Amino acid sequence: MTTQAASQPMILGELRLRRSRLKSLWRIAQQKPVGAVAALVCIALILVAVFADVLAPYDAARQGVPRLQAPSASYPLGTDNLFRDIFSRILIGSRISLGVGFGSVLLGTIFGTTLGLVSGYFGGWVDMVVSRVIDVVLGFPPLVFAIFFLSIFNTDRGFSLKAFTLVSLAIGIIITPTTARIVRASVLSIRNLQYIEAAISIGGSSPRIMARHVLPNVVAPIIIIASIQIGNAILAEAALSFLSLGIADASHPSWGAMLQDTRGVWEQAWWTAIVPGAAISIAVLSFNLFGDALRDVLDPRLRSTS
Amino acid sequence: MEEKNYWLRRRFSRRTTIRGAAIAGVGAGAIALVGCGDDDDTGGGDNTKTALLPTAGATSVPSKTPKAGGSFTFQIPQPPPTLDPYTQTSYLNGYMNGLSYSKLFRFKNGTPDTVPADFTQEIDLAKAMPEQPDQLTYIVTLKPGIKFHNGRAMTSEDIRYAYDRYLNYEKSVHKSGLSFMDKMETPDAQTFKFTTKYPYADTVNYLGGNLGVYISPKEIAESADAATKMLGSGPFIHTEFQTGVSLSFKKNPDYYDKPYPYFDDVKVFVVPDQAKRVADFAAKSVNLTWIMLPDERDQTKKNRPDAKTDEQQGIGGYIYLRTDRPPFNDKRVRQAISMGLNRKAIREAITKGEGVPDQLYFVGYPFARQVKDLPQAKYWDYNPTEAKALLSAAGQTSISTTWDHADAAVYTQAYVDTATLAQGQLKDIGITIKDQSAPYATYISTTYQGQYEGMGHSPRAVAYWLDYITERFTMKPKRGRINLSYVNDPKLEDLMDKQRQQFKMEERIQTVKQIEELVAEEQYEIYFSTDTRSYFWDSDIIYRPTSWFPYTHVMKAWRDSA
Repeated sequence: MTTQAASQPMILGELRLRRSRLKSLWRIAQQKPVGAVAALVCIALILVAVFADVLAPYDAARQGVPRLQAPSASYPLGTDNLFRDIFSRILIGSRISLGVGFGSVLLGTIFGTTLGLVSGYFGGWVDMVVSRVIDVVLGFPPLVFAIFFLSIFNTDRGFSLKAFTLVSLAIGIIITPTTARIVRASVLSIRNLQYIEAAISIGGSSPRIMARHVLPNVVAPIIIIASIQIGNAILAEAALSFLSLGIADASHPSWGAMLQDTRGVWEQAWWTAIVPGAAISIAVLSFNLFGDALRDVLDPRLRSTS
Repeated sequence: MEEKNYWLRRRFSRRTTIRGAAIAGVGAGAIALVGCGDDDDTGGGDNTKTALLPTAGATSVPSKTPKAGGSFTFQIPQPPPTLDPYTQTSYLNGYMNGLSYSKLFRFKNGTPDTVPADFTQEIDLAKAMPEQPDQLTYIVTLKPGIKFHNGRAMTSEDIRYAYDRYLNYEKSVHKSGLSFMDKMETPDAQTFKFTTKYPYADTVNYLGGNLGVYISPKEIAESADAATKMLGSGPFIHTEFQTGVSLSFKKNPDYYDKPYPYFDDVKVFVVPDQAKRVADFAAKSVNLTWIMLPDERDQTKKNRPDAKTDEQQGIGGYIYLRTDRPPFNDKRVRQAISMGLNRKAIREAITKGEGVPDQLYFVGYPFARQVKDLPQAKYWDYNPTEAKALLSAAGQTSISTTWDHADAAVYTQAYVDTATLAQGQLKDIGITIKDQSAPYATYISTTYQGQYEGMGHSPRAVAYWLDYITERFTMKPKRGRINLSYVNDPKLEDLMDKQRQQFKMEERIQTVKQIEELVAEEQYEIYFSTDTRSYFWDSDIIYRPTSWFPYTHVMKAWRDSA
């Protein structure tokens, strides 16, 4: 009885908290309508990628529909030069495009955060070495670096988990320096604050201090940069696939590879260029706008300004 | 009755007949002159559309007196994997080697008055066609005054060195092709004598080809620069190789076979992008281009109405597969694959429906047969029901395999699309394929050397010597250079041995036909459809393309405005 009585206010409290969070979200959505729409599109894209098999009317590799049919009721996004339904391929293609996008951002964020934390926290020669390494990586044109990397390491032919990981890694490495620099700058700004000094003075180990006291205070910029980088990663994957350096094959299409596959028929069939191009643009734009909105919301200075 | 006979007599009197014949003769002559006139002016180009049929019947074109001077530019889709003739079989390699290196014999074609598929041999380094004291012995005398591009005089020892290296160098890829060669001697500096292991009817044709025949001297063959530089005795001196960008050549002033070459400079641009190749020719940035897709051909005709053009029958790609292991060691599976391919749909998607089912080993030869003329033609028919029945009879209702091929850079997107379409069609009969694409250089040095597991896919080459089939299907003494299907068929080996030693053409052709039919029945290789190769070049260049490998056309071309 006592337990029941005690748990009731807790549930009520939780409900109130949730309601207030929803209210906050609604308020943010009202303040940032573009960001809210972008977030909805991003969620929709993720759901499409997850349920692509169910949503796609045809298998991605299935041939048998009329060749080069313009968008119609039967084929909403038309058909390509190899007798395939573009709508199905766009849906299934979102898996590689978004998968590599998220995978590479995850890797890039892990590497960048680690480097930025270490560099900013320790300073001195560690900071100098990490910063120079970052400078070297930044010195390469990003796409050239990815092409170079994949030419050496991606010995697999066609779609495979290894190839997926390597493409994600290549793009992740491109993303790493930006993340590392932002995290480093954030760490430098809190490195000398009193609570960090207090943690050091009571004998806390460096890894523990970084994990427990520094990292939580730089999460906001990490989230912001990660959300913005997803768009860039999707674009990089599309570029690599267009150059036939991606991981797509007939059964595992990607939007960039779809553009490459149909390049010879663009003049005859505009939709073969416009549809995958639009998919890439919508995804990149949505993640970028969402990232911008997130930055506005999470950055206290911008929040106070708005 | 009598009157009727009178009119009949009137109409067919002797004088009337002669007059009619004269008019017809003048008319036909006029038509012929009009037909030739354009070619005479243009110096090349068989404008009749016989592109989908063997090109042996292509008309020859009379030539003008050539002029020396000027430059010539053209494109290749990828850089040659290496310039070392000993270690590569890529056609790009052969193409570039042919500009700087010489060989004992060469193809006669490459001039406007020789038809593109005429694979007749003429002398190159040799002073005359070889003396043959018996069926096994060949004595070749070299032309006097032949010099390598570094100024050193060529001797018969250089010829012996080259063939010895082709046969014995550990990295040589021409051992099987030249396996007919036995002992080599150099009685004097100008004489090269060799024997063959058995009477070999293709000796001269092979030595005048482009595989394992270029005389690359020790100075370059054993140097660190073998892959990037050429030092031959051929018509053009190799001056520069900008990897992935271009190759430059200048005229060899000491060339032993005057008046060749005519051009002062030749520049070869490496342009991987087919659209750019087409655009460059449209913008008049290059003098010559060749195109394989009808859409691009039609576009080029529209963009460059001034350019001369020649269309030739190409040959389609083919699937090779591991016939030495299950499931492809069962001929029913291979037959099922062939019947599971909808070649018509592939042609519609890729070549605007142009082309015919292909199994033409000997494109251009007078006896070349089309698939429809083979007793085994049914295996080229699209018949998924029969294909499934064959697979079922073979106990293979579901096959999972791999398909290796090069990316689109060299062989064009059409080649990759063909693979994609075929894989989709084969899935419908229960064959699931993992597509494995690789860059050209990787493909040509791994898959094309036989390093693959399930299936592979490649364009085919025109056979300019009849024994070409041996390289495709032999396992004696080791796997043939392009026996990519690992064919090991004693009956086929016997037939190949037989034709190789038949010096009488009629007898040899009968054996070759037996081989064709056996290969068609066994489906050791599975063929797609023919394509069309369209060559375009500037109107002031007197040029005639050749059917692929005889690379003498650049040396024999000239600029009318030079």
